[in-house]
Amino acid sequence: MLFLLGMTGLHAQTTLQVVTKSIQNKINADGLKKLNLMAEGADIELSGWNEKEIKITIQLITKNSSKETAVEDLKTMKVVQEKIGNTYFIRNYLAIQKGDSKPTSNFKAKYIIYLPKDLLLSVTNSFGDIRIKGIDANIQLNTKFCKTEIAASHSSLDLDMYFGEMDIQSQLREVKIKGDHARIIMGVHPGSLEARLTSGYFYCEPAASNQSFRIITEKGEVKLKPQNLGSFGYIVSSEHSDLNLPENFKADKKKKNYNINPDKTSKIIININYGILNIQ
Amino acid sequence: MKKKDNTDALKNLPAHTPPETVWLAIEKTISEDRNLNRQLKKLKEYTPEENAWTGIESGLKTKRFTVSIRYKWAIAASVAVFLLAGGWLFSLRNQQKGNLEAVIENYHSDTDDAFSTLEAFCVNQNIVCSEPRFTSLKSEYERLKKEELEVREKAGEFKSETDLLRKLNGIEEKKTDVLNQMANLI
Repeated sequence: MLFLLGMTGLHAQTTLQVVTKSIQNKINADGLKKLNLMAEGADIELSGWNEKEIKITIQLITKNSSKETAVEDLKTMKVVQEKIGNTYFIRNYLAIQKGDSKPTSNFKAKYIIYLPKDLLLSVTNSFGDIRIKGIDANIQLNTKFCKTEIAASHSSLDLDMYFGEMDIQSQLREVKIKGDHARIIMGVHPGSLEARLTSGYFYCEPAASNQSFRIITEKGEVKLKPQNLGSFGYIVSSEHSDLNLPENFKADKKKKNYNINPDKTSKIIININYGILNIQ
Repeated sequence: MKKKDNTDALKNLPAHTPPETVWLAIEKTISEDRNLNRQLKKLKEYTPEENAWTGIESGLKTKRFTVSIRYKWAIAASVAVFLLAGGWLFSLRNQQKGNLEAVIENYHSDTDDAFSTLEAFCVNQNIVCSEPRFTSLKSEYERLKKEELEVREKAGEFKSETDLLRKLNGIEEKKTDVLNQMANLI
């Protein structure tokens, strides 16, 4: 473990004292099928590699105008690591004893983890940034107010997102999304998609071949830019929504439902209520 | 020039009414013409059929009836078109009003829970919460809430449900962005 003391000024009136504790270890990944990271207030970097081990670096950071308070509050930051079955668990949390006053410092945990690219990955986090790179197995993400990026990965994805932003610049396979006020940007997506969204913003460029692409959304905005507009069949149903569709899309008499190119096997199916839809 | 002179001259010619004696003289001449009277007596006399006068009379009446009924049909058609157009516009306006009401009834912002979550951090941790940037974002959120309330109160003034939807979605997007910025500071 390594303790570091520093200073930072967040604004002109107060200079903050920064206290850091670092933890490092390596785990043999033989027999492991999954890494489960349950973080709070953490910035996380996860990179897939070809080694058969997991390399973990953790920094626990407190900031306070009082050095003594920052040091005391750092003691409440805990990390637990353990192997249960074929899953390796990592978790950080604040341990507050009953009767103790709640810490007043600003807390942050930082994770830099290298793991086998074919290991299943599960990450839970709030109020932090997450970068995932080079993962090929399934990624399970549960985030609240996080800014997340997935790059250079060929995995499948299960995403449960509350507020925050997601940038996926990877050729993922099956993607399942549950988003609440989430801002999600996907580039070219050749896999399947199933998304249930409430408010927020969703952008994607479908490039699926013989895959299904389903979106159910209440409020919010969905913008799709299919790689080849004519290679998809489209089924769009809506209530009280703003639909901006290609000119050759003809609706039924009530102008609520569209069934375009019904002979195509790759389908884009959208149900939208009280939202804005753009297909171009 | 000559034509104009003649026209003017013709216009200026005085008008004369022939005296009664002239017509009496012509009548006397005709009545004393025995040959004319003989020839007139040789002309065959015809009595028109009974229905001739009826036919003439009915023809006069029908003509009058055709003209008036066409006029009445034109008025009736105009009234019908006017009523249909009015009815259609009324129905359209009602449908539009119904759509706006449906949006207001069913579109509810649910960002307040997230705002409360963020505010809860500030109970113990004052470092971020007392920063000018954080308090400025809080004020911006409250301002957007007021704006949304005003839009809902004046929903009936929107021209279409699309305009209303875009406005409400726009405010919701801004509120979401403000809350994300607040979370970034925590």
